[in-house]
Amino acid sequence: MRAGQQSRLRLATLIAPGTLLVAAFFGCLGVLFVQSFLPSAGMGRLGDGFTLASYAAFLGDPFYVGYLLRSIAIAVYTTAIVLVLGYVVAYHMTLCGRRMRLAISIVLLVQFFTSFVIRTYAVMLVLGRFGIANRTLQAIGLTDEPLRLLFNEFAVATGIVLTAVPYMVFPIYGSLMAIEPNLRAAAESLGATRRRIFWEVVFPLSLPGVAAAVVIVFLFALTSYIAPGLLGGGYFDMIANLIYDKAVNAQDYPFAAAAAVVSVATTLVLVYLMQKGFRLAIRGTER
Amino acid sequence: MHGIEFRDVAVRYGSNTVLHGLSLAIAPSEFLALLGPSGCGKTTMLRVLAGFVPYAGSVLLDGRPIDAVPTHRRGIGIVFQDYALFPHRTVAENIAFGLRMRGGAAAAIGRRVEEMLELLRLGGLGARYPGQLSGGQQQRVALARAIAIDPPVLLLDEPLSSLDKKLREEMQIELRQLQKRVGITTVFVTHDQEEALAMADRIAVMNGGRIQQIGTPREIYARPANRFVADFIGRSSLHPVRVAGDADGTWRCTREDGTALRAVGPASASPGAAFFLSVRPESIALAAPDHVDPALNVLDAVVEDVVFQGGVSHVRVRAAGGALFACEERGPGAGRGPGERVRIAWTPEDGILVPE
Amino acid sequence: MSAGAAASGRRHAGVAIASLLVVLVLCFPLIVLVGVSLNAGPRQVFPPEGLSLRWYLNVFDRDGFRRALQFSLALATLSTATALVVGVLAGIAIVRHRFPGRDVLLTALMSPLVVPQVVVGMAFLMALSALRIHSSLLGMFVMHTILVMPYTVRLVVSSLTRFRISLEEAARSLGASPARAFRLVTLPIIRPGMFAAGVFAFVSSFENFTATQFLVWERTTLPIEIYGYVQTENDPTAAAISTMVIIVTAVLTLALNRYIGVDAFARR
Repeated sequence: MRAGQQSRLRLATLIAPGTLLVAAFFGCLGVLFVQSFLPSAGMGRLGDGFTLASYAAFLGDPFYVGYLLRSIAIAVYTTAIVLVLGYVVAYHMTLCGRRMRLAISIVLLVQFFTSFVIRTYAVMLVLGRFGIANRTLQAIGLTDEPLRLLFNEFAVATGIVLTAVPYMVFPIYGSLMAIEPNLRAAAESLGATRRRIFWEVVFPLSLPGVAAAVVIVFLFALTSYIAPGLLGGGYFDMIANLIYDKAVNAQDYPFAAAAAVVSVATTLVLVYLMQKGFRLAIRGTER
Repeated sequence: MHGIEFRDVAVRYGSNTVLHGLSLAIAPSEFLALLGPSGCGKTTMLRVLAGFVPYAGSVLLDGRPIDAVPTHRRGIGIVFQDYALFPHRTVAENIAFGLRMRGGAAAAIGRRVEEMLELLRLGGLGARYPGQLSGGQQQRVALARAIAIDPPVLLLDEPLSSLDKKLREEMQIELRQLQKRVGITTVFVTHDQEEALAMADRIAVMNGGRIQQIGTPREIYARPANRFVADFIGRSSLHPVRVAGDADGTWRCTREDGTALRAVGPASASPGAAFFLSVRPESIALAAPDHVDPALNVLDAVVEDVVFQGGVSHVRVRAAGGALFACEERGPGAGRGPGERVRIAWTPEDGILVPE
Repeated sequence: MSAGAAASGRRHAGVAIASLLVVLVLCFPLIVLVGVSLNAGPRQVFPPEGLSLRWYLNVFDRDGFRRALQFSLALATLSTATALVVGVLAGIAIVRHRFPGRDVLLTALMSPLVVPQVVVGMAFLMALSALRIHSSLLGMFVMHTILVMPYTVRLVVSSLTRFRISLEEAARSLGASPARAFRLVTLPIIRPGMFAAGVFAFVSSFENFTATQFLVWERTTLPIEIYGYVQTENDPTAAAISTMVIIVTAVLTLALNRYIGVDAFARR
């Protein structure tokens, strides 16, 4: 009996710190959830009672719902672009030599580890009024006046795409490397051309990595704050900017919380549907 | 039916030569085993034939060179060691894969797939995924997929090595029967000599990127061409000897300690030449210490150890001069023990002189 | 020569060109950033109008950047160390013990990864204000520890899962106490995984912006300082501090490659 008690004590010690932090995390989320149902008394103060007023205010106003729909739209097409770009790089990494692979990995990892603020700022420098993009366009005579490349949807989407590619590459690369080389040899011996080997064997077998990466990038894009903040400059805000603005500047906690709950719920549904779709496509490739 | 010829085929990876200019002809409908230790170049031979590796020299199919033909147009059927079944395709889709690449009509493909499922006793498994099959079933799917495209040649790369012993023996027989029935020219790579001996029409024994000997299983076993083959195939006692002269169709030779023996060997041998004497364990009889027979080679020996294996006992003896001989005794055995003095005897025809 | 490897290289030239183009486009903004930081003039232009290190000197003259950098480093170090300890303890429990709620615990430990940063930050803000806690420092430390914990848990769990328990049992059979066997055998073998976990955790704390911005009324972190500077000022100082961060990041990445190999790391 003593031994059992001892091992239970040991287990409790092992999981106590993690459990405590998890509890703190969910506690905070719980506070957010509860406050989304409280009436707002303005200036960060909360009233008593239960109300759906904040949800009604958010969902009832096309102006606010527009933030969410806009965010979903931009997340969908940037994820698609990032998928194509990231897949090409990942596929190339499985074909090229060891040195090239190392060089690409290091470039991507440096990007991966560099702050979003810094990377987004760098994109801002490229697209700015006096940035290299505008100066090049003027130099080759495509335009006389500097174009407004910044502070619009194009800038925000560019920022999201350029910062998200590394997240797409690594999971896809991992699942491409996990494909048995003999499967390609087998397809080749059965008469498949390079193109058909790719579409019939390589691509379907890389779908688990694609699925993981697409979910990561979609979540990242949908909840972007820095790209709209710096590259949109207030002219193209996304849902995260609205939430921050309502919480910190307007001090309307219940509204911000309600917007957050609705966004998270929408995100969960979308991710669930995406995973379901991928699971149908992947069927059979696992194990 | 289709024949294959390798002409002076060499493969190099950088400074490392994997095949040293091999030439080899495989007859139509023949079952040829490429046998050798790992790294001997047998799998490379197969990859050359499939067109997976760049090589010098030429490969001919029915007398026409196919060196310029890329793998996907060679139409050669391959069964890979790990089967390489497409995990995301059902059994039927796997078998249909090569047919689809050839662009046949769906109905014709369906009929061929059914035919293959039946031929390989896979009825009812067409809709399963490879991951849901046993090892033996996966093996048969791989075979069906390779044969479905009606290839001129079937290449098998250690296809039985991942099966357990009992299943492997069943599949040996099944594979052999199938090959005879379909009549397809087959090249089989293996490191397992029993498998090669049991299945092949001819065996090419390889080592160090060269073919050491080609012949029927019987020839290879009974008349090894050199020391490597004698040592690699079956068990053999090998001892250095020197030829002293000929005596009624056999060679007289002397061991290092001066004892004279008689053995058969190449006609090209001449007095003074150095050889290895190879004797198979089953050729050596154990006799009483006072046994005399002028027609046999007889040596005094002491039993070193005995390993009892039921129907047969493996007895290792040390002859005068220190040379070790492996012998076999059938039946329940005389209950010999280490230290016992015996005589070993074998006929001159069972002693074979092989070059280094 | 026959068909085979040589020809396949040529046929994939399209993929190689497209991929290198993508990598180049990804690198280009960072190259521009470095160029801007070296400008002699006060404008953020590329190519630079004359070279100078004056904006680097300006970084150290500005109290805001210096203090933010110090605080970011302290915060990242503290939260990484804490998350590593928590991650190793929880990792051992999850890999080596069977207990009810084990999968739930693992999912919960990983969950901060999937909750949007803006929601996390706001939840902490609301919780602090509901609890009438006016100092944000403790809140920031707890939040960063929670945010980086998924990385330490994941890498420790995957290292421990691949670790063969028989090695530790062998050490125990040779007379090592459980604690000693863990320290002498297990720890050295999972160390590369822990190192990678530490790097990931440190970096994601150091670079965090979106959640952190809710809690910065007492001290700000470097990303927040840069973000604010970029929005209000228009000289290359922010480019200079950013370049310094990138250089440190690159050195760290190369060290990581030396220590555990980027390839193995990238596949994790």
